Amino acid sequence: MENENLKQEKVMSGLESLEVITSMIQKTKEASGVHSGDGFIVWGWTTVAIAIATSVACFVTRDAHWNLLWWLVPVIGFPLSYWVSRRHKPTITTYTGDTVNKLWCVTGIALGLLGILFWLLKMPAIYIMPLVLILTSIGTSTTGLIIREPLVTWLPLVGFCIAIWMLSLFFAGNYSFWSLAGMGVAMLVMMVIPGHYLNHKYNVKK
Amino acid sequence: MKELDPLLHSQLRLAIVSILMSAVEADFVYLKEQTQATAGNLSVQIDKLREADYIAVEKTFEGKKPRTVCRMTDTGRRAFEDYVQTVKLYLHL
Repeated sequence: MENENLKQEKVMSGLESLEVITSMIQKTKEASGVHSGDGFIVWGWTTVAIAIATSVACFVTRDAHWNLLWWLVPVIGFPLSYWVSRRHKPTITTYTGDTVNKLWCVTGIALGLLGILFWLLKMPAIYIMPLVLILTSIGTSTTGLIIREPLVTWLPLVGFCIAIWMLSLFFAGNYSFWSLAGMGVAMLVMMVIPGHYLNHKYNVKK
Repeated sequence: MKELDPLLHSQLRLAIVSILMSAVEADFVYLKEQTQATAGNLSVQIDKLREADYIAVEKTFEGKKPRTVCRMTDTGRRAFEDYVQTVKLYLHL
């Protein structure tokens, strides 16, 4: 729909000028949130699905080699998130969105380094799960602080607590295949729920 | 009293600049959606802002589709800040 007022060089009063400025800044703020939950949804659901598959496979076969399935998280996650970002390519880059992208870039590199260091130092792979949870919960909470969403800021504390619970089990030698399912529960609470919440909130407003 | 910058004291150009002030960059499609202006009119106003060096315009291709991306320049930022200050003076804010 065409706005007739904007078609012409309309003479504005000072107050109208301020109204135009405020309205455009507000619209931009709202538009920048559209599809902002996509990343959380893609990585969250991918990890939840792999967590279920790994836990069930390990439990049924009693074979820890099924933990290799965890490598499917980046194998599926990266192409899927690339495909989603191409489908919903943003037409605007806000300073907030740019900061969040850079935050996840650093978090992603940290997660990659974690995997490489564990492999190089021959550390028990089982400990990587709670560390991944701690890093991603910090990433999600920081995102919540940047975009000023209390739900996104505070829900990752659940993931943090589950990570500490997993660590305590591993240190006590009470390793169970089902403790891996904790990874899935944590990702569901700290990524899937915030992702759907953000998309619902901003895509409805669109 | 100081004159309002005539280049910014137009509803459509002020809307474009206000969007770009709150973003790193925005493409033509977004500006058209938010200002609800026609493509022709928007192009004309973007050109005026670009000629004054208030905004930088980059034309690229995404696959086979052309894409126009706009962002504020330092000159544009200063002009916008001056404009807002002047409006505030007019309104005694």
